[in-house]
Amino acid sequence: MRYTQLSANEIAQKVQAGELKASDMLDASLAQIRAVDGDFGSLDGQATDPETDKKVHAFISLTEEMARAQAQAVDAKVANGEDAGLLAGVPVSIKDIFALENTVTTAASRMLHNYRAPYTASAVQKLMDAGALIVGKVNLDEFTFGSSNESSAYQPASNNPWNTAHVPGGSSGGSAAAVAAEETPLSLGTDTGGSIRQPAAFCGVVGLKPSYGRISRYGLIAFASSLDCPGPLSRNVEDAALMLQVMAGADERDESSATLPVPNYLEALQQDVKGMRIGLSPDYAGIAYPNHKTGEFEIIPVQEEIKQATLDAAEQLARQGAEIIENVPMPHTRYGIPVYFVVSRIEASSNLNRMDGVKYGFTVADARDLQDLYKRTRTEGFGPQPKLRILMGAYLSAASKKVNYYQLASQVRGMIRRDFELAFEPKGAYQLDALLTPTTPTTAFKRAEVFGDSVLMQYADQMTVSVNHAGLPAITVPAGLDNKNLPIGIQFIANHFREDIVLRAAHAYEQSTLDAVWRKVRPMALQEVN
Amino acid sequence: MQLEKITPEAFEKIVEMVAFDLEPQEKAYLLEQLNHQLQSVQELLDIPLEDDVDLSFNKIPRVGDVPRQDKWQAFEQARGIIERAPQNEDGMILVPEPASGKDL
Repeated sequence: MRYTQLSANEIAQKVQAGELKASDMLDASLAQIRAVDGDFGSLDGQATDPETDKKVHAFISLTEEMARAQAQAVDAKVANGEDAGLLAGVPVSIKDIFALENTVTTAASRMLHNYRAPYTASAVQKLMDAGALIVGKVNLDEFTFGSSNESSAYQPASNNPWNTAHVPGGSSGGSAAAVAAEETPLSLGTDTGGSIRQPAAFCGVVGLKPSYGRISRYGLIAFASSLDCPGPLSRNVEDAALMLQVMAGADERDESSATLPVPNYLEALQQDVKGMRIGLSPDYAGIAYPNHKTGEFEIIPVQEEIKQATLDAAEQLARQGAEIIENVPMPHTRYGIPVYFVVSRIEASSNLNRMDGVKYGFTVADARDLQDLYKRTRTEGFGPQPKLRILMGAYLSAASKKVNYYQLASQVRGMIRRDFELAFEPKGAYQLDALLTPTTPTTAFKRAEVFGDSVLMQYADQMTVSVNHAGLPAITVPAGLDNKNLPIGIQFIANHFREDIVLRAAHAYEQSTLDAVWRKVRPMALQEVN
Repeated sequence: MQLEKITPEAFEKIVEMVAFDLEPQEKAYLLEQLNHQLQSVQELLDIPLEDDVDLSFNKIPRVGDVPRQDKWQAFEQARGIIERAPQNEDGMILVPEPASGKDL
């Protein structure tokens, strides 16, 4: 087995035991990046590789020098018999939306193409303190605004390692692609409406969105502040638990981080699912999508293979002693996207007001006056998707003289949250420990197939976004391949701060399918190089 | 209640408000997409609301339920923040003069 195929936990244990040097692990990770990644995303987007369509393009930049210094520090600690940390020698990639001191932090936007962060995000700092090697920054939809990675100003955007003609999902598409292509065993992403779980499902990896407040948002460039959550992407559930363990906890620099004690997530994996009550809901069987040509809402059923994989998972868990509760009503799930169109746009519009060419990042030269500077900087600095979100947020805010859209959306958001409260209520009708759903309505779509239709693209998140509205933890775990060999993901959702439960359920399912035929299939991007 | 489409005139006002200067093709695309998104938002106006729901955004439990004290702390990289401004001099951010007679 190659070093790059080791799990994060295996790497850390081998490094700590002196069986593997962190510097050798770093070399292996960098060699894999050179072999599969191709051209990194850049503003000019010029491809130099004739095979560029077959490459992964997960990265925007490498931080090799920093990673080399971190590897040397880890190796020195091990040589001195010191504890080198839970992630000793583990290569990690970072979604380029997190500040990392003295490195360019672009948010995949021209607006921040030259912004060198003066500080490091708390989540990234915790990874480094635990011995991780930060190898580079990975691509994303511009300012995280998208579900396919195609809106990145840094082209070529990331491809799906399972079939590079397909998107990796988004917005943490670079993270999911880097993990699936064995470039780094772990990646740090963010999830505002499904941005960890949807790309993880599309790329056949594990993605965990923790409860809102479980991981500090300090140093994360804000999209929608009441929804944003940092979280891990990994190739197995144990690694997601390990990475969460390192990053979770209170942070005095983020007042919205929870002060609850952090449980031992790795220990939680040792428990089985006997007696666990796992729900299935008919409200996750399809998406209600507004057809703008007819003006009618259409119910588009979940792809049959994804539906079947979800039911198969329920059966697997039932065989292990879990109790499956069918027909759990989640009637407000269909309103998740309309609520998101209001809440996320108004918050995004407000957050992006600070990008004005004065304080940091891109600015135009020779502005006639201050107004000219603002207008030309924002026009040239933002791509179409941020512009669309800013305009929608500004319109809804301005139109609120007639209807207070934010309050209305917050009220419906409360109704979405109540669906979950009723499902998880310990003395309620369902008494669920977890809800099991598909992660996405389809497997990864082809590049350019949906891009440009901002409504259809948004509805790709209908299975994930309600969790963000309610602030709950959820995990996606690979559950097979469709007839095009594209990965399928299933999702477990639990009550507030019960990451231990989603990890336990996902781990039990994962362990029960370790010998499945589909697990032997390798992503297309790896077949030629390894 | 029926949500009205955004008219080209209303759109121009929003574009000015958020300080964009758009080409005609980009305007057409963005206006079309905004109106498609509003069709989705229309659903919110059509559903019966439950009055007793909690509007709080997220539940963040705290040990002892006491927010931390608001204490001022010097940021070590304060100078570094100013130095990242596109135009700066002697620890100050430089901006062009506002156009006379125009609201900012």
